[in-house]
Amino acid sequence: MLKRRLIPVLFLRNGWLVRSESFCEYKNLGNPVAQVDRYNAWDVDELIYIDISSSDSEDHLTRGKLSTDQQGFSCSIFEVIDAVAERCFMPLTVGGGIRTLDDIQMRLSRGADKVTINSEALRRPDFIGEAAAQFGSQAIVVSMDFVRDNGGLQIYSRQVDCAGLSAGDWIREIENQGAGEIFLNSVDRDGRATGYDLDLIRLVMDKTSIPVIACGGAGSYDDFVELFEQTGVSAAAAGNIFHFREMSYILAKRRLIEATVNVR
Amino acid sequence: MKVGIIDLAINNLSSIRNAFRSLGAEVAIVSDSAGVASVSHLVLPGVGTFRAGMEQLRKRGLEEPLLTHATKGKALLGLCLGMQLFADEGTEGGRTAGLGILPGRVAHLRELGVTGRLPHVGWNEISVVRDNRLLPSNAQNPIVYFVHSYAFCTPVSSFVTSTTSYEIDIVASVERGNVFGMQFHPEKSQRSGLEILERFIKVTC
Repeated sequence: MLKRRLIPVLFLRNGWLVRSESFCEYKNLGNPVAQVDRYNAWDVDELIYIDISSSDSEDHLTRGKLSTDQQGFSCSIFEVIDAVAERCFMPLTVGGGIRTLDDIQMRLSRGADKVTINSEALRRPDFIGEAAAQFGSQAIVVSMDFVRDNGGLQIYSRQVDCAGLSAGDWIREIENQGAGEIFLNSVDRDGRATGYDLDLIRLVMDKTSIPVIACGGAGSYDDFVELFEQTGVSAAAAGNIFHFREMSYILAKRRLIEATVNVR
Repeated sequence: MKVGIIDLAINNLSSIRNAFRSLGAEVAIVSDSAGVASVSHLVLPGVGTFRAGMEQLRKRGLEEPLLTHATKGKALLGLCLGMQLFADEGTEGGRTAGLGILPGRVAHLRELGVTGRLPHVGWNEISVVRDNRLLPSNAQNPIVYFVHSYAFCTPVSSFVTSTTSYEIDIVASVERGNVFGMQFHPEKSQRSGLEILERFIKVTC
């Protein structure tokens, strides 16, 4: 039987590993590659790296060069992919600033298995279709950020105006275009450690037949149990809880197994 | 022993190369017939559609060298789409003839009766269904990483070495002579996967 996945998410900003809260407060956590060995030792199910450098003001293709100007151990997303692919033999998903088929090719050829696409999909939904046709749906994850709006769910983006976009229509659109998975992020819960937004996650699950990875809000191991027990998500993703606690991934898995959740 | 990984320009070569390197194997990326002829162990990886995979193979003139490699009894390993290309035909991206190395066709999991979420992505247990040379022989069934929406279907089950369950039984691995195929990704399956690749490079041919 297919196992449910528990996935650490690492956010990169201008080459540094950061924590994020409500999608806007950032705290530098240091070198992203240094974390790799820890996750490898923990035998994690999958890793997701998201580059959240502001893509408005920078050419995303040259972002890699920006980081090398800084002192210390910052890394471009490409250096991260290289480092992970060299040492870890686990599924790797990378996202952030992907706008062209070449952007996808560059990430996949260096060792990523999947890419997440967000703003560019909102700007140009056909991009998902083009990407799925070239690389296969299995490589294309659409990242979807949402906020609560009158008890419902509103798609959120800083780059693209989503005011008139119905979440239901958007989910149908990306599925029809050939997206292979949805990476669903709650902006309201980001960095709050108050648990996943179960109602809204369920709402999305009901509208789609592709796997969903839920992210945003995990503050305790029981939050993972609750998410898996109360929704049909394929994977639980989280950032902070894994960065700040020793052995957190292993302990979280242990808790899930105790609760008889079907994990590896 | 030298491992050659076929470059189809649409696939993730780094992970496979790194996995074999970590096992101490000599590895080359091969993209022409001379390259194929220079290796004892050939790996056909795959990401993308069946049609795109076959088009790339033919465009690069690699279909014949690959078939010759298999006919000579040299070791051949197809991974994911690479294994699917061994079949007679596939439908992904339009009906397309495959390499015809193993009898069978490749069909969408929906067409095969899966009603749940697709792609079938994540870690799943495989059940070893007959003696073989690459999968572990102990009682513990390995848990490996899958990501696919299409599956290999065959009327001949004698070369199917393991299956996995996702509502239906899906062919997880095949073996006939020195031809091996895996629907899952050993290069992404941590220790379980590396052990399988290690046995592959030890296949004598």
